[in-house]
Amino acid sequence: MPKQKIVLVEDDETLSEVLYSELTEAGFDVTPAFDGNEGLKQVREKKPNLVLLDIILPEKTGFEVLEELKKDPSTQKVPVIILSLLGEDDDIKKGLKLGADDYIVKSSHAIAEIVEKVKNFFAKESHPQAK
Amino acid sequence: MRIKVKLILSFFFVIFSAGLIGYFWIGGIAQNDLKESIGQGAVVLGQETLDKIDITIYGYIDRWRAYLYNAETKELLAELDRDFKKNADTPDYIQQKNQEWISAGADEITPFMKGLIENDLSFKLRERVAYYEEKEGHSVFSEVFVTNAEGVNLAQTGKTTDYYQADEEWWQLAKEKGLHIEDVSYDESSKTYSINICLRIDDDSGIFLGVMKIALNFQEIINTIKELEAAAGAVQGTDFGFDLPDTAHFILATSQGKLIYSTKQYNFGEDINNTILSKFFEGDEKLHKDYTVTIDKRVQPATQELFANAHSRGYKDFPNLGWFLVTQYDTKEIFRPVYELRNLIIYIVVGMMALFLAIAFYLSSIIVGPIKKLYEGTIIIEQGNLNYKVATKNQDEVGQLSRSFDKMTASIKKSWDEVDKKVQDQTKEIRQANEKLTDQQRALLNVLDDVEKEKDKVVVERDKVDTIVHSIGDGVFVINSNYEIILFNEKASEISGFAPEEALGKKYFEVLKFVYEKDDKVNDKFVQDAMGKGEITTMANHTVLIAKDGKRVPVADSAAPLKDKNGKVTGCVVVFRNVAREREINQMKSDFVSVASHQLKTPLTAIGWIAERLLGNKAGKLQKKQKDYLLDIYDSNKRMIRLVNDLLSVSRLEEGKIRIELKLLQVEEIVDGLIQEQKDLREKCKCQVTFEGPKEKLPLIVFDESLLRQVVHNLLTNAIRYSVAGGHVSVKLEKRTKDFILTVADDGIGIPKDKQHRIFEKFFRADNAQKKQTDGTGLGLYITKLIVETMGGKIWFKSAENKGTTFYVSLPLKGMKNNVGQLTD
Repeated sequence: MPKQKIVLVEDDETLSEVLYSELTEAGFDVTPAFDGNEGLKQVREKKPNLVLLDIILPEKTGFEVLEELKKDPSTQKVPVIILSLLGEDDDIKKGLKLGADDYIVKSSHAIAEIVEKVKNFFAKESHPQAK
Repeated sequence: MRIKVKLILSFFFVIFSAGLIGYFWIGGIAQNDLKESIGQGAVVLGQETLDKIDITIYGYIDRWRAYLYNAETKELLAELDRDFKKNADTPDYIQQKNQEWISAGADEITPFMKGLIENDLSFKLRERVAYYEEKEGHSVFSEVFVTNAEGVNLAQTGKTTDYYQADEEWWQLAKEKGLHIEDVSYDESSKTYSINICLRIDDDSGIFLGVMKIALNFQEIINTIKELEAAAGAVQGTDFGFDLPDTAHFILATSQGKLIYSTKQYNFGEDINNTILSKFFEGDEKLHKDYTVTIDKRVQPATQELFANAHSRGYKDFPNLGWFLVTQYDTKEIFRPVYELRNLIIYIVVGMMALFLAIAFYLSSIIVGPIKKLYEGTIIIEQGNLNYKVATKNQDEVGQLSRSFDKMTASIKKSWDEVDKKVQDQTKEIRQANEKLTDQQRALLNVLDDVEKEKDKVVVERDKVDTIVHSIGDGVFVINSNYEIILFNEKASEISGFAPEEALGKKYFEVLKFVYEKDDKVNDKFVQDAMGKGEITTMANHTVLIAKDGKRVPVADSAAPLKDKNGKVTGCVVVFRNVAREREINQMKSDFVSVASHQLKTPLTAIGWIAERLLGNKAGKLQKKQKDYLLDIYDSNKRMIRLVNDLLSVSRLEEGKIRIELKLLQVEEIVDGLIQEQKDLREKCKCQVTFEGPKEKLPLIVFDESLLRQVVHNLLTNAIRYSVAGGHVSVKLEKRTKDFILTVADDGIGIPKDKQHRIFEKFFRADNAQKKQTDGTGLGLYITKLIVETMGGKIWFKSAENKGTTFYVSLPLKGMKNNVGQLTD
């Protein structure tokens, strides 16, 4: 079974490195991107199974990236989980409204919890496919 | 006009009218009847006279005819005719004898004439003429002669003008008709006026014998008329029914209108057709009138005359003479009875009027007398003598009125006396009241004096207030109950761009347009509420004022109602300020907090995650000591993150920038759910949490769920955290009329008395709490209070150190409003 491909859009290098390490260790094929434009580019190239998307990003915000992905027919079906420090209800609602599959507030969760959520996501995703 | 005069005038009018009607109606009829009677009488008189003339003439004719048929006369006639026939032997005998006769001198009597004049018949004729003359005392016949059938004279009383008569018209007419009467003529031979009567003579068998001509002296006729005229002057009262006036004149005329005789000055034979007779005919003889009254204007003064006309009617078998007899009267005389009658009527009418006037005077006196008495009575009473009585005994209406008047006077007197008494009493009261009033007035003057001083103070105050209002740093305008601007300060003018004179007196919304920033909809709710509800209201956030130049000025502030002493809203004061700068600063602050919190959270998250990785031995196995320190780092890091989150919440709440999402909530369920969620914490402190729902189920209430949850969560976690081991936390919901109370009570460490007043302060933590729970941020209760207030509720508490704390939150049953706070997008 091929590895699930994840594009990780995260501008903070430390956070990106921790997430990259944890997800790779968990068995995912992770491609990091450090700004909005790069994120978009990587998603289009890699055609990942999941995008982990930060909001506060250089070049283009996560919301803008999400909007563009959902507009583009080639990428609109790619699932997106927002991974942000913005924890306001408002931000969460906005993200979900734009088509994100989940919204995780980074500061409120241990890294293990985040990895668990990603795993659970694929478990849920694969279930309808198996069907 | 007085009644008496009116009554008399009324009577007079009635009587006068009746008199006039009587005079013209009765007088007119009577006078006309009398005039008719007099006129007809005059006609009858003329007719009688003319009849008498007829009788006279025809009487003579009758007698002469009888004479001719006398046997002796006939014998003599026959004898004379025989003699004539004996002598007349030649055919031209008559011609010859007639020629001799005419050619004889006027006074000459030829032997032939003498033979005729002196024959027996002529003698007999003269004898007869003499007899009448002797009988009447004057000459009746001036001439009588007889001819034979051939027309020659047989006998004659005197000399005739010729011998042969058959060539004469009268002879032929007499032969033809039997009788022919000639008009009156003047006979030269006898020098008299006479009427020639021509009679035909027949024998017993009707054979024509000759003609007799009789010249009747006209004096005979004149006498008849004169008899009447004389009688008119002398005799009073005739059988004509009236006195014949002495001014009567008689005019006799022939059928051709030739005057025969007149007692007035007319000439014999004068044609009176166009003078007198024309009075009786109007063009056509058929419109013949018996008498007529005419005014003769030829004489001055003009006289009125009555003319009566009579016609000859004949006698027995004699035909009429065709004569007229006109009787002429002066109407002054003949109509005297008419005038007397008229005068009599006038006398009667005037007399009656005088009599009736006298009666009217008397009657009006009877009627008016009592009224006058009553009137005098009113004057007496008017002068104040209420004891006066009119006391009329009359039984008529005036009498009744007088008695009623007396009664009325009596009752007025009674009322008057009562009123008098009352007035006296009241006057006394008024005097007392007046004295009181004087005292009060004095007091009032003192007060007024004080007021005057106060007024001066007020003016000073007002000037002060004016100065303050105008120099105030915020825009201020005041509107009256009609929403018209009555005050507009300089700052208001500066912000809006409208000069005070452009705004004053106008409805505020015509000048100042307050709109919502996002949709430009008019936002005047704060003014409407202030005016309508009399509450102090604040402008909704994000209101802009559209200035005169069209610029949008963000404004904030409030409207406060102006109330009179009865609490009625008479206007409102609106204070507003330009918040452009304020908002800029706020935005900067808000941005700073957001950025700062984000920037802080990034490394904190990194620290947390790395610590986690280290603890998970991802970088090699750690020693016990290393692991303990790392755990401290990890916990502190978590606290830091919580602190940053709380600070962010505080910042948003303070700015009102929280997203409100209203939902109908069942409060009991949320509270119960939250208690269940605190399972971990509960177990950690080994304490019990009980929940007591309301006796009456709460209705569904409109709230923002996350805010409500945060309140309950904060209070509940605090209660658990500050409970001692084995403690008890009781949560209770209680419904009241307008709100419900959430009570969270613990039997924990409590709040020291001297710190209780600071418990809701930002970052404040009591010493005992600090000792018990080291990781508190000091923001929980502060945030809770902010949220409760945002939700329109109140929070308070009761606490005793080491005994426990009870927090109470009341929230309205009507829920929260949407406009309390909004989050910008």
